[in-house]
Amino acid sequence: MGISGCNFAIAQTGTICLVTNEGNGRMVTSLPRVYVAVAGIEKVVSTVEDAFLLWQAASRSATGQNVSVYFSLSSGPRLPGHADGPEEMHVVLLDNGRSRILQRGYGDALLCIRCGACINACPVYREIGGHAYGATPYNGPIGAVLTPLFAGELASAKELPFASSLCGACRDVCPVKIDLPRLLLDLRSDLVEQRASSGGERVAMRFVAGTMQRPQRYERVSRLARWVTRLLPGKRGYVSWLPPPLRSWSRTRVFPRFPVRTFRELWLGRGQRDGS
Amino acid sequence: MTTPSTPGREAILDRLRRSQGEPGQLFRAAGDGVAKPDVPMTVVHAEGDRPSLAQLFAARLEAVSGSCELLERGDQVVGRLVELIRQWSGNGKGPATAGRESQRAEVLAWSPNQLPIPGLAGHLEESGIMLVTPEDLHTERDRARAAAPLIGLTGVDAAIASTGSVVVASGVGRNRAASLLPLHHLMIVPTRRIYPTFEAWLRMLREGGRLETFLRESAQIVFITGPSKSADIELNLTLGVHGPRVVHALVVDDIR
Repeated sequence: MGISGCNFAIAQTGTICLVTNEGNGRMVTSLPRVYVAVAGIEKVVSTVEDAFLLWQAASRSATGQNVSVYFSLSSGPRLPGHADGPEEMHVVLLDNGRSRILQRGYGDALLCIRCGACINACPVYREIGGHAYGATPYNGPIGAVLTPLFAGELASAKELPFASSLCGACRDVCPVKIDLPRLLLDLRSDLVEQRASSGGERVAMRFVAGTMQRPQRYERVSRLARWVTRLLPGKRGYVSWLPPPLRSWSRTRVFPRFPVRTFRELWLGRGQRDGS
Repeated sequence: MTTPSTPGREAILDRLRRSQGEPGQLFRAAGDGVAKPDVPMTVVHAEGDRPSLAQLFAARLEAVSGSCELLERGDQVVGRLVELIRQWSGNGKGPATAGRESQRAEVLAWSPNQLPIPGLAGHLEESGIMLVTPEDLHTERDRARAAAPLIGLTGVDAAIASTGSVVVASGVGRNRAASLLPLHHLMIVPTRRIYPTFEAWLRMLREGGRLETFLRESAQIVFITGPSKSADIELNLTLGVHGPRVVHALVVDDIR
């Protein structure tokens, strides 16, 4: 038995399309007696022309090829007199949460044709690599959207939508124009509504928000932070130990000390120093 | 056609219909109002007369590590095939021992009546080259016969100039193995079958009302653009991973 996934499934002709460069897609659809294709329901396209358009978009955006080496279109088992090809062909159309993703307003994420262009363009992915996204088939920006959506609970991958600077490089390169930063923001907002973060984190965030809104409190806090980071152990301009709950952060990284004079102090003292 | 009982099927369809804002409605028929045969999709533009399309096809195929030669007449094909097959079916001992025994070679091929050169099998046989044409690759005997040859020989249904691609449909006498299993894939491409772009080829079939039938009746159609490739390991480009390492097209002007 040969088992494959599916790049596009053409509704008009009942055809399973596989995009490969090595030829594994040809082997699996040609040599075994039974062929089974597992296709997510979002892979269904209307016409043959649609499949060709998306095939060329995927090739171009994935590797820069005009087209992939092989594009295999299987429309059924071998017919009488054919020397090879499967005797049986089965297609499993898999929902596995997809219709619910559409229902919840994240249908744009299902437009993805898995070219990987957003991954290559993402400055976060380029720095941290694929393993940081956990044991998921999808990483990078699209993974940060799909992994929480495919998980039973959004909260089980709650860190991923936040691990982005929202720079938009992914949206710019996406051949099917998925607005990934928008989807990441929507997921963040859903997570906040679900109160997915810990109580301590919520209190801390409320404190930060309050401080950023009040200039005087901001002044006081930055002055306090300057003294606190100077009292903590470390060398040169860096702190190497932070108290819990920030301890785990300083276990692998150093934290810069706040400078002796704040920006506001420098700004106010500016006229006196150049004597004008 | 059987419809196996699939638990949840109705629930899934219902959710999809609700999300589309059309609960209780049937989906639009596939292709209904969305078929756009003229949508430009090929990156490389191509047009021109038959010779310039043949030149472009050759250039594009070479750009993806394939190789190509242009022949004016069908009677030149046998001579070139014999040379190439002898060169590629060497027994690995090098040219020094390329004596009589290396003159015999087996080529995994489509049935002779599916190849565009009449009498090809007979001519090749005179030069000691046997065409292996399996009847049923699910039998042990044909599997063993198909496993040995280093060279596969096929025709093509169409060729696309802008990408250097060929269209190969399976069918009676047209096994899939010949373009897949051997190390070398030789294909005979009549220039009449070269189209500028995929759009042009699709439009020709769509307008002739043959596109859907062609897909259904072929069981499988494969579009081949150069030799099998991978760069999965350390980004090193490797040719001939699951498919052929050498893809060579003989583009012939005066055949059909």
